[in-house]
Parts: sequence; structure tokens; C-alpha cells
Amino acid sequence: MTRITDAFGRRSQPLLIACTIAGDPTPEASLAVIRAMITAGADMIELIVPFTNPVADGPVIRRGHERAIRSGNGIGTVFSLIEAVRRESEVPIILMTYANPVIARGEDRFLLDAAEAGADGILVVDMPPEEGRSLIAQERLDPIFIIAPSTPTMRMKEFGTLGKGFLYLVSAPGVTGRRDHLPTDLCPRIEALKAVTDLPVAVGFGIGSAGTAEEAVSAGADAVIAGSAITAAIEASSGDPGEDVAAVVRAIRAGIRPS
Amino acid sequence: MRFGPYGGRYAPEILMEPLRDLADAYDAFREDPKAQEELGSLLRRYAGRATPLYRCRNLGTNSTICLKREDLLHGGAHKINNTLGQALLAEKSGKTRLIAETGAGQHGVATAMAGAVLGLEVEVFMGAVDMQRQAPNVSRMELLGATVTPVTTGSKTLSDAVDEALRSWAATADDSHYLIGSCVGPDPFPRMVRDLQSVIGEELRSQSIAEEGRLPDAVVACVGGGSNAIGTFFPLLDDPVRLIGAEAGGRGLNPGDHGASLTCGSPGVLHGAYTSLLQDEEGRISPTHSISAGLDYPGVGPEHALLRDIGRAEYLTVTDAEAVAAFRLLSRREGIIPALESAHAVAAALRLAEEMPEESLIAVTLSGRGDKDLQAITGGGA
Repeated sequence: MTRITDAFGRRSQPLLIACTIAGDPTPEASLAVIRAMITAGADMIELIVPFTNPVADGPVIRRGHERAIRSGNGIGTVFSLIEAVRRESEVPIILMTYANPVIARGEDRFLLDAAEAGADGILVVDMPPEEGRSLIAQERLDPIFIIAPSTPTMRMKEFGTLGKGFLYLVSAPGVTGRRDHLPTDLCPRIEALKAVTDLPVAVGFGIGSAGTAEEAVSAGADAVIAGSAITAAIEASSGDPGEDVAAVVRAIRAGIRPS
Repeated sequence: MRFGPYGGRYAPEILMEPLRDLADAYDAFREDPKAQEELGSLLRRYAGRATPLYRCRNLGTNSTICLKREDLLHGGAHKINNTLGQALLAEKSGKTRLIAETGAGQHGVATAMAGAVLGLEVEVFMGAVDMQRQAPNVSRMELLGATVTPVTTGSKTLSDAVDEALRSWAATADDSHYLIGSCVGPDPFPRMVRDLQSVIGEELRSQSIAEEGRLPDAVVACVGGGSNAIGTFFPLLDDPVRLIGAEAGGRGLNPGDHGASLTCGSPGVLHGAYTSLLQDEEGRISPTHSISAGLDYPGVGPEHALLRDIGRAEYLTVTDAEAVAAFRLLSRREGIIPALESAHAVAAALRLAEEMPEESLIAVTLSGRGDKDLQAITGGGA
């Protein structure tokens, strides 16, 4: 059993998956942010590989990518951060990346290095199963797939078979970013997905407050994923970003009631 | 669809269904005689096809250089071939809004024109740097009724504008068509843009036989994303004709100084396709430079990467200075002010004319006119 499956198995309430860009704004601060997320109640960490052209990300996370790249962070930083976290925690770590850094390193080598560093899952945003054969064929990391509002039922079923750990349900069309409320059709969409898969369903895109976390959980989410609110706290921080991020994580955590 | 190992559909899941819908709609559009006749009529009676093949009189080379005059099209560039086709497809698919990105501004202008004539709303994303250096085209787009949205992320040029257009499409695919400006992006865009631009090569082929009595020995076109080049090359692939693409050599071939994705790139994924890219060892996309905004792009259409690999097309680089010299020469000697993009192809043709046997026939696609570039030339942009 992987750390991800184990985390969902042990839960007494929906999980909180907290995201941050590796190296944003510096490797040291980034490690402090991850530690703060864990301490404040994150059940799982999604670590984002800094990339130059993050087409699925909204402005807040995009600026985080730029900050991380500006301070010289690359794949080395990503793997070092995972190793550093792994030395002190068993928290599951999902690596989120765009396809090109994976292809540039070599898909097999990337997956091997990530697994050896201590990652548990991988989500390649722009590598659908049609293009990601090695991702599906490998057994080192749980392949996480995104379900969009436009994903047809047959394809949901396919993701349910190919994916491991959980499925990442996008709350609404568009890119990452906070919203005041989640769409009203979220509940039937979660139900439709659960009708074709046994994998847990994590809802992301738009979760940045206790209110939106509660909406996702009420709609039936097994986990909520928060990224832009955390990245915004790093951006706005004038002192210790860990403190500011912890406050955001605690606030979102408060929206998750026992299921 | 792939071109050898290149191409594919590397897109976020949120775009996969819109891309499948688009591919289906395009296949139906291509096979629909009524739609094709409507497009043909628009190209003839609105855009101004066919464009002439002009034999240069005064360049003083030992070879004959002919220009395929896409600069004479409505809007001043080959871009209108593609935008009329995609806008018509969008209209027939029930879309009400066009999203576009633009570098030099010509694709944005052509999209704004197609949107205006077909009654579709248009939003054009343009890097803030490009908006400054192509200010007249921003005014044209706005006059034509388009909204021009500045992109201030990254290098503030074409690559970032494509990112932003993709993001906008992800949020609005139900009612919007992303009218991509070159033969780049996920399937079906590269083959759709190629097909729509193939009118250039088809006309060039028949005009060369009719007017020069033979096929050219070589055809030359500039390559940024590569749409005018693939439209020129594709109908000639089975002919005994050298196909030559001119890439932006910029200030030289050090990283960050050029836009030569085929000459200096390596395989990777950008904007939805596996192609030849300018990138570092970790897969981060490199900054680019060209005096010509339309060639200032770190990727290239995937079919060009295949043509390079199999040796069917040759790709060379032309520096900013060489392009400016060709720009001035063509203006002075032939009374034609070429787009800076096209001036790269002219410079490459002048070089080839020295290397090829005497009496060779070289055809150059003059992809656009250079009014938009006067500031870059007179402002000392070289």
C-alpha cells in the first residue's frame, strides 16, 4: 500500500492536500513552507516543479513559478526538498509537473529519481494517458489524473482504471485560482465520477477558504486541494512565509468537517 | 496525429474534449464542399487571392528570384488564409467568440478581420513587449473591433501570449474557438493550419509552371512557428524542389540571442506538441530574440521538425543584420517593402543565389508587407 492510499484509508475526515511550488521563493523558505503546511494540518503535499510556461495555472501560481525560477531553482531543488521532507515526515508527496521537464530528463529517469527521493505520486498536467505510456506502465509512483468538467464518462472510467491513489477533479472550467464559491453542479459531478471508479476523489481549482473547502466536502469530496491561496500567502509575506502559510492551511482545514 | 515522432496532443485534460470536438469539426469541414466553396469565395473575393508570383527585375543575381506575393493579401500577410478558414469553421461549429495570440500583430489583425466579416467577437492576447514594438497593429486590431489584452508575464512576447490564450480557451471552450496563428499546438492545429496555408504552395506550383515554364529549383520561406513555410512546402513535397526554411539567427547563435528552434533546438513539449524547442537541460523554455516579432518564438511546427530529420527540408539561420539588409535591398531595388519576417527569407534566397548554379529559379514566399516594421528599422532596432 502506498503512502497515498494509506492516508485515504486511515482518514476519519476528508483530507487536505496543500500545494506549493518547489523553491518558491527560495529553497530554504520553501522547506519552511512545507514544514508549516504539515504542522498546520495538511495531510498530503503537492509539490510543483517550477516551469517557464505553466499553461494550466492562473496568475498567482504563475508568479510563483517565475519567483522559483528567478532564484535558480530546478529539478535538483525539487528532489532535494522531497528528500529533506522525507527525512522528517511520512507525509505523502505528489509531484506536479508539466511534461517538458519530465521529457528533458528522460521519462524513466525522472520517475526513478523522483521515487528514490521519496515522492509517492506524480501528476503531469499536460501529459494525458494517450501521450504518457511510460507514466502508466511504471509502478514506482502513483499516476494521478485530472478529471475536467468536460471529461466524458467513458474517459472517467478509463482514468479510474489507469490512475492510482486518487483522481483530481477540477471544480470548474479554467485555470488554477481562488473562487468565492464552487459551481453548483459539483455534487452530481462527484457522484458521476464515483459511479465509475473506486478511487478517492480530490477536488481542486478554486479551494482557498474554509467556505470553499466546506462546499467541496459537502458535495462529497474525499479531499480538497489548495494551491493558489498558499502561493498568495507566500507572495504577500513580508517576514516568515511559513507562518502566513500555516494560517491559510489552518483556515482551510477548519472548513473540513468529519464526514 | 503525429509527424513521425513529433506532434501529438500534450494538453491539460480541460482542453482534451474541446480538441477532440475541434478535430471532428475540422474533418467534417474539410469534406464539406459547400463550406469549402464558401472559404474559396472568401479567399478570392475578400482576401484577394490568387496572389501573383513576381519575377524580380533588379536584384542582380545570377539566379532568377521570384516572390510569391502574400504581402498583397487583405491585411498585408498570409495570415488571412488561416484566419478566414478557422473563423468559418468556428462559425459553422456554433462558436461566437475567437481567441487569438499574436507576436508581430499580423495574425491578430487577420483574426480581427475574419471576426469582423463573420460577426464573431475577438479577443487577442499579445505580449506587452510586442504591443510596444508593433503599436500600429494594436490600433488596427482595436479599430476592427477586437479586444487586445496585454500579457505581462515571462518575456512578455509570443510564447507568453500563447500561454494566456490557452488559459482563456480552457475557461471558455464552450462558446469560443482558439484561432491559433501558426502550425503549432496540439493536434489538430498543425495539420489544420498547414492545410489552410497550402493554398500558397499550390498557387506557387501552378504559377511557376505556367509563367516560368518549370518548377522552381528551390523555394524559400521564413520559419517562426512555420505556417507560411509549411503552406509553401507541403504541396511541393513530392516534387524535385529544394525546400529551405529561414530561421531567426538574431544577434548570433548563443542562447537567448536567436529564435532558431530547428537549427539549435532539441526535442520537447511546448504548447501542446512534441517538437524541436529552444530549452535548457532541465526542459525550461529559453528566452529568444529576433528583430522580427513574428520569428521570436522558442518552438516550431512539429511537421518542420520531421522534414528536418528526414532531410526533406533544409533550415538555415539569417541574422537580424542580414534581414535588415535584405529589407532595404528589396525596398530600394524592387519597390517592395517586405515584412521583417519575410526579409529573412529574402536574405536566405540571396545567399542561395550565390551558391546555386547559374540560371537557377528560386521562389521566395513573401509572407507579409513591412509597413509594420518601419519603426524597428528606422528606430535603429537592428
